[in-house]
Amino acid sequence: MTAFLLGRAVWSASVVWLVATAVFVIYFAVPRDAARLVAGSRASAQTLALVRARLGLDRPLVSQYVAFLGRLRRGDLGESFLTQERVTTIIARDAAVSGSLALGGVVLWLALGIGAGVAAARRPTSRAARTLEAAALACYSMPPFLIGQLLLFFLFFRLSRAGLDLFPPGSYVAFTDDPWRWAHFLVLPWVSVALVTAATYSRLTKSVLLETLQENYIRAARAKGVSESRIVYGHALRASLAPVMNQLGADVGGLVGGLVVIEVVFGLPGLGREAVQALSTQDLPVIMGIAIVSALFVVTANFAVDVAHVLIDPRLRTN
Amino acid sequence: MRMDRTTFAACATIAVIVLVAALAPVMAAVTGHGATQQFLDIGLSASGVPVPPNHTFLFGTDGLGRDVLVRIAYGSRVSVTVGLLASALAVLFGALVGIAAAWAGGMVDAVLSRTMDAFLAFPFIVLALALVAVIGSSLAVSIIVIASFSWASVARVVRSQVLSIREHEYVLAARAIGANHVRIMVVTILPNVAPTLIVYTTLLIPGAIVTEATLSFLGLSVTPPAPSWGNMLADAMRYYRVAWWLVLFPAGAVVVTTLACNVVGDRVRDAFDPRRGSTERTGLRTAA
Repeated sequence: MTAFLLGRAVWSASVVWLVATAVFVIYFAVPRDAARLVAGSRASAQTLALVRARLGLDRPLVSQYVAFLGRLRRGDLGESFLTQERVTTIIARDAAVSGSLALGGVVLWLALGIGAGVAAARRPTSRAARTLEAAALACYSMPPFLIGQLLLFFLFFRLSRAGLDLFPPGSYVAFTDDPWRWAHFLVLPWVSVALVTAATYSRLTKSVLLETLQENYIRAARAKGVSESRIVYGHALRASLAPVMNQLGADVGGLVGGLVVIEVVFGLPGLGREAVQALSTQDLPVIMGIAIVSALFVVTANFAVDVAHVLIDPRLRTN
Repeated sequence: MRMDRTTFAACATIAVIVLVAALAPVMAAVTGHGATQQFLDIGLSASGVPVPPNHTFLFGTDGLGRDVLVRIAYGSRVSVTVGLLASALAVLFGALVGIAAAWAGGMVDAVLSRTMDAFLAFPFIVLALALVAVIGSSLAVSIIVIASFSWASVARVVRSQVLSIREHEYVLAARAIGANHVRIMVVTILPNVAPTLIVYTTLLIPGAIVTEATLSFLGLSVTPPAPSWGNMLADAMRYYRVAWWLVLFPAGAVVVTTLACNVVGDRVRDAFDPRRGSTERTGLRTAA
């Protein structure tokens, strides 16, 4: 078990190193004058030389790479070209928004996906199951931003024009300021994040559950007279949680992408929107910093899934 | 060949979309409206807002007085191109890596497998942002970006299949008569994973279309004023309060296209997998 987790930890660290190196290559190796981006197009040759020396751009590429990794190790992601603010400060400020969005979205999508999957598996031929399946396929076929746009249009704009203000305009209130308003602002973004991915989970839960319900131990439980709901929730569903968790690990990368899009649609001041805005101003350190931090997040989340896997599945603990 | 009604409708829809993409210039010629042509006089109301669907503009106009119908037709060219090219590239590369990893085994397999895992875990949109920030956005960049983040899932499936295929007697026979590695991989093994490759290509197409729309929406793909469904929907964000047609028609185009592709992809997969599906669900089996 320790060997397995140790192996995963080494792998996680090497993925982060790979992403950081990729970022360095994109950032420094592509011929482009970063000093000019910082100093502006009308800067004199003297200013440019000063900026170059300050950013270390005048040194050879290898020593720049070593310096870059050294700064990363100290948790230094550089400064914004635009505002001279530290990138870590910007990220720390926005992370709460993205974190809130991710957390609620994941909880909601697991609840929706597993719930719909169980319902479909218990009565696979019913009209309700078929409707759910069609709805799941429709959501699955939609780009995430479109689900957000449609929710924004129908549930926010149409309802509020009809005089029914269920969802407030505006963007974000910190949880520590006002938990109720925090949740109220985030309901529609959460639903958007959840609907995009829930379809995968309902399909997965349904197929795994249907397979598990054919197993001998389920037949034995039935013969013993265990109630049907206990069989489904107590015995079969637990067995199907392992593949669901695997899928969750695989979906974290996609989740980060979904967050970017949903933040842009709903105007939430999170990391994703920050990165998209930094694109239009060519603020490279901000984009690169966010890329590295999201890789770190994805890798950590995957590691957490591995640990949870070991805890749930006794077979992994023994060998 | 028998098909159920849903599959038939989906296939017909895909045919229509491909036709629209091919005939977009004809549509522009018939209506007399170019994809980027602005009709500031008849395409905008007196107060400067988009005009709703009417006889001249069947799908209405956008914020710059351009014909939404013609722009959707040109946008379908982007989606069809990206859908086909990105999935084909991803499947080709994924198959090569998957076969090579399984056939070589040992260290090569370990390194390639870890690389697949790394690519599957990457936060793709964020890295696409970083890449586009430096090299700029274009259709070719989108295709390469999408393909480079979808090949790994194909490679993983192909690898696991080849691991079992390589144990078969006919592979042993090929080795016994002195076939070299390349010949075994291409002539003996590749045809046996072809069904998987076909299934994966059809399943990757809708995903690639959705991803391209998302990249366009974020301004990371086709550069305006050239139309794509994603950047039309991004423009619509500014006008959705007054102009429903700016959201409805491009959104409908995306959803109908990907839905049809997903339905066909599902049926193709069922047709190749004897364990799945009952007789009425596998209408494509004879076609396959």
